[in-house]
Amino acid sequence: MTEPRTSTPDYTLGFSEEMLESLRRYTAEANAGYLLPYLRPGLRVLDFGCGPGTISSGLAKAVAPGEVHGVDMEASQIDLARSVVELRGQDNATFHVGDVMDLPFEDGYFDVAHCHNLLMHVPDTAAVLAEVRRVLKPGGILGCREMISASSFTHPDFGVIRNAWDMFEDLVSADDGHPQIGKDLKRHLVEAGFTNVRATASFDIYSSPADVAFIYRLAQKWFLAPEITEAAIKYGASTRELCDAISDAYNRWREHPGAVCGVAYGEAVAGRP
Amino acid sequence: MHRDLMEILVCPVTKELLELVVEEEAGDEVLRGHLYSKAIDFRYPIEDGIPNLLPPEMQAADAAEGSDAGA
Repeated sequence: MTEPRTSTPDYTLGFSEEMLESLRRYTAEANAGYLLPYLRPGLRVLDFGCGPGTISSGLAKAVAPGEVHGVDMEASQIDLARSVVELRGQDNATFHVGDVMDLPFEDGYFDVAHCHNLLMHVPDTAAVLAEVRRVLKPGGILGCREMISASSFTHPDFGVIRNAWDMFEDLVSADDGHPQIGKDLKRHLVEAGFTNVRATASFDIYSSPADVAFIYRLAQKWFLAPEITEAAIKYGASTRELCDAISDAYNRWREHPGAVCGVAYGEAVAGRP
Repeated sequence: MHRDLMEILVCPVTKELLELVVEEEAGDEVLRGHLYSKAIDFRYPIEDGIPNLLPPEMQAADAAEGSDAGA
């Protein structure tokens, strides 16, 4: 068996293996399925916090010839996003380096606004929702899908992997983020003046050998990377012994025939009056 | 960046329309230049066809971070 190696630069069509994996996994169908029934050709969509644009690209396909505008504060993500739509021959998606708290669009321009795993990282939920509301037309809709970390699981847990999720939550919270915001979307949307809030929930389930390898690599990168564990130890969110135990548990989990991981998400679609 | 975008892009701070200054273009695509916000006297750069519309204080922070990383 050959180990997947993401640390080695291995480019296909200019994309790293990791990016190609994101292209396959983070699609509009998989991550914005709750919103797709509301999309139709000709609508203008804002994808705020678009990252590498893999979901934006799917949204652009759903509304073509309507426009999709993706905004992200990281120029490197915007470069990737532009390559994704270029590769797929899409000409109705445009990407901008910008801040979701201060969007560079005129009032009432968009029919639909979308975000995925964005509100969990933005400290001031009310402010970002007010700004998104500003750029939506009256009658426009907002769709968001955000993690519920406490309802997510790695199984078997070996009595210790839950601690990795706790560490993740502590670090997100330390940056004034909201790791459980997926279950609080309805309240936030109502408070921001949106109406007809339809809340749903779903899991991303990882179970195939490729899925398990993917989660294992994510764990290495997020929970077990030296800079993360050092930070967690420094802020008292973990100890060296605990990090070693989590690392051992993930090695056992990867080899376990019953290995599954579920990431819980809250979703909501709401109207802008 | 396509010239048509001028109709919808605004200054993220003042929400007022921007003035386009082109330094390099190909057809209707602006490859290099800037978007000028008169009210706050700030130039939002367009590089490699991508406008950077982060608010001025965030652009300053990015530049500082970039120079640290490069050191």
